[in-house]
Amino acid sequence: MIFNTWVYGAFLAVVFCLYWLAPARWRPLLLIGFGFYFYWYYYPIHTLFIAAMTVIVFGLSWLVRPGAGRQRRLWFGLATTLCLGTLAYFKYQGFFLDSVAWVMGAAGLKTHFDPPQLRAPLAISFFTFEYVHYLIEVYRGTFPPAGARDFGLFIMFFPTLICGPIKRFQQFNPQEYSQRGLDPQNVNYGLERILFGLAKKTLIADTVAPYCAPVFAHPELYTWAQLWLGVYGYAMQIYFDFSAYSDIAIGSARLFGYTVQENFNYPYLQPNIARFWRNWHISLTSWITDYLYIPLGGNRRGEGRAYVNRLISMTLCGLWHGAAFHFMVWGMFHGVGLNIYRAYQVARARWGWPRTTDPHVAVRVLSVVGTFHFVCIGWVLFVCDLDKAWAIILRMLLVRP
Amino acid sequence: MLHAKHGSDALRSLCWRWGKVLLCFVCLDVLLFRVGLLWKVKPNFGVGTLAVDWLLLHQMAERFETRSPTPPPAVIVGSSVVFRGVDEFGVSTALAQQSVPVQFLSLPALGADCTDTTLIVWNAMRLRPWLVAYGAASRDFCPLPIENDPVVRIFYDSSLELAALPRVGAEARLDATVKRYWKLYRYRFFVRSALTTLLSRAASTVALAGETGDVAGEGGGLPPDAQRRFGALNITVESYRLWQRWYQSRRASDYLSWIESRSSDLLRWYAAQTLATCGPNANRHVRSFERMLGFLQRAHVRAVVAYFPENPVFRQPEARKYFDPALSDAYADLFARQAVAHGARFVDLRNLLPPEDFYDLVHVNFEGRRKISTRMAEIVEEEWRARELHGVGRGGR
Repeated sequence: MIFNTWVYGAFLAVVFCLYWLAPARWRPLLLIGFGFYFYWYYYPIHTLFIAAMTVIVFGLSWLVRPGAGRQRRLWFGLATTLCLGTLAYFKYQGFFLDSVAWVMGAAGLKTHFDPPQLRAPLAISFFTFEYVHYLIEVYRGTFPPAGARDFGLFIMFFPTLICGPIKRFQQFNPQEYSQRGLDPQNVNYGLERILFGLAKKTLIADTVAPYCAPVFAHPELYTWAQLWLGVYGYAMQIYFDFSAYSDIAIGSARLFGYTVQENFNYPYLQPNIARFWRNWHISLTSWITDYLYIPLGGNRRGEGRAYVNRLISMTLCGLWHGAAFHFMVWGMFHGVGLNIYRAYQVARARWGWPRTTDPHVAVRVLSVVGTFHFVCIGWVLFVCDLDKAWAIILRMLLVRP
Repeated sequence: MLHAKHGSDALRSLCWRWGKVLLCFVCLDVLLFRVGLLWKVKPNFGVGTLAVDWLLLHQMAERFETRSPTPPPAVIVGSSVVFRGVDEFGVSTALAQQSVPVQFLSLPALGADCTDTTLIVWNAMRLRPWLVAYGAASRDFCPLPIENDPVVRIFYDSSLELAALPRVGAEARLDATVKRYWKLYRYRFFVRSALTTLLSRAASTVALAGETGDVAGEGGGLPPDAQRRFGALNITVESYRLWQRWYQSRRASDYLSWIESRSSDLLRWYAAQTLATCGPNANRHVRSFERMLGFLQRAHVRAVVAYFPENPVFRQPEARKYFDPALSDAYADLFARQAVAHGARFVDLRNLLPPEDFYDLVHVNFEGRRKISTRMAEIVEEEWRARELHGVGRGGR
């Protein structure tokens, strides 16, 4: 069920009515059931997969909690390996084998891998990150392992199941929400967000899309100005598309009284690349920061190490978006951007340049425009394979006619 | 279940707010379709065949939504053979000259198969026509992929169920139902195109679509005869030279060279159209055709099936590879049988034109267009006079 379909609208209306007519104690179970149905609607066989994974992770979470015994570290390693290994198996197997074949080919060794044609379970990247978050936080003792009902709802909550936002268990808190009554203000807000999301998707994203696709398909037919227009269009398309889905997810959740984390906050109006990433796909950025960048050492082990950590984090962030080299390079591109911005901040501090809290409006506008264009160049790497992206970028920058 | 603190005020506020949203949608529907604001903007659909097709559908939808059903018109439907072969203005003028007070409308869609045409006829019933002529060609029955084509996107709603277009899944059924009752949804592509056209006009932005050749200059150097026969946009100096070579030699191979110089795919496509691949047996479009004649008969609308002209060059031995006479004859037989079964009239125009009036196998040039239009005017006139004389237009014959 895609959000902008009539089936989803009918499904949401039915679930809404049944949810609020049901006794409070049954409501979470009802949502879990409909979550499975929602997932089953896409690809029935994968429902077994997500159900099995949820049961396994739930069971393992009890073995990794503080006080679970000496083996809990081992169980934790096993649990996270299982989650990430499954993700790697389904999503990155082909990419990994291609990379190995490429490296071996470069070394003069002829190899041929024939990976099985796997269909990755839908949204595996999203729910795997939720499993990992849950396991880490239980292991750290941030909260005790939840009951089966609460954990089941955390994973199978259908508004966020397919495209996020990636939830945090302590914020989701099913126990508290399930006790709440129907609040017209929540319904009002939820419907408003859904309508707003649909408008973003249908009026803007879908309108812009047909103009951008030909630009990336046949860039040689377009002038550099038209290439820029195509990239601007794509920047709008991807933002309005993705944020529209987030709006509908947040709105749908609110209809049931649940508050889900915001995912976008005017990312294209940010004055630097660090602020861009704090406001673009917020739930993913914060996950990467909390469970990758900081565990790698963050900036606690000196500036040099921080640069490397940032680059690793962003490269993996790029790979999360898709199993291909150009996604990886897109992530690296942003990692380099973040490092350059960090270097600029360090230089400012070292040379004692005054830090203005309220810069001149021209400086602010220039910063926003500059950041937006940096992001736009990144989108070329995101959309096209590396050869084509490189050719487009060179033409956009007037390096090549 | 409601929080006491919010109570009925909150509920009233909720209803009022969403009532206003609903009202906005209703107003939008009234303004765009009842008042007809949407049709006042001619959208820019870009360039190419698909753009022309969208333009034709836009014009068609405008006619369905805005035209007064009185006096009942005579309409002709079909694919590009009708688009190229029938001059709406020419037929109307000929009818007027014969003092036949008939409003004649041409409703073609490029690339339309018989299922598309059935959909168009079904929607054209809103115009309450007294006569529907179907300009048929055997290629209308070839099994091309037809899902989600422009005609289906706009005109296939829940008021009709066609075996050729099965609705799979709940989404397809819901979509068809909403499309039937909510015009803003049905015509959303036109609304979006109108908005982008207005915006691009206002901003005078640089067009992003791929550019085609400079058509303004293409007529340069063309002999007057070439322009008179084909028009400046349909032929070049080089291809006209090849056509002249055929005109003098009358050899089918020269004609094929002329066609190949314009499109290498066309002949390959013709060669693929045989009785085995496009024949009437187990053909889903044939079922649509029967359905069309069936609902016309039930609505007491006179139906005319006109089998449009085919280029006699392709009946020569050298060109037989690209034309299957058995296919043509099978459809002539089918049309004749179905016409009898449904009280319709079958008119075989296959041999109406000489080869110099064609542009390829089935599409005609300006001279062919003039002749077909004259013949269509005669057919409409005959039907109208028969209707007047016997009062049979409302009961079939």
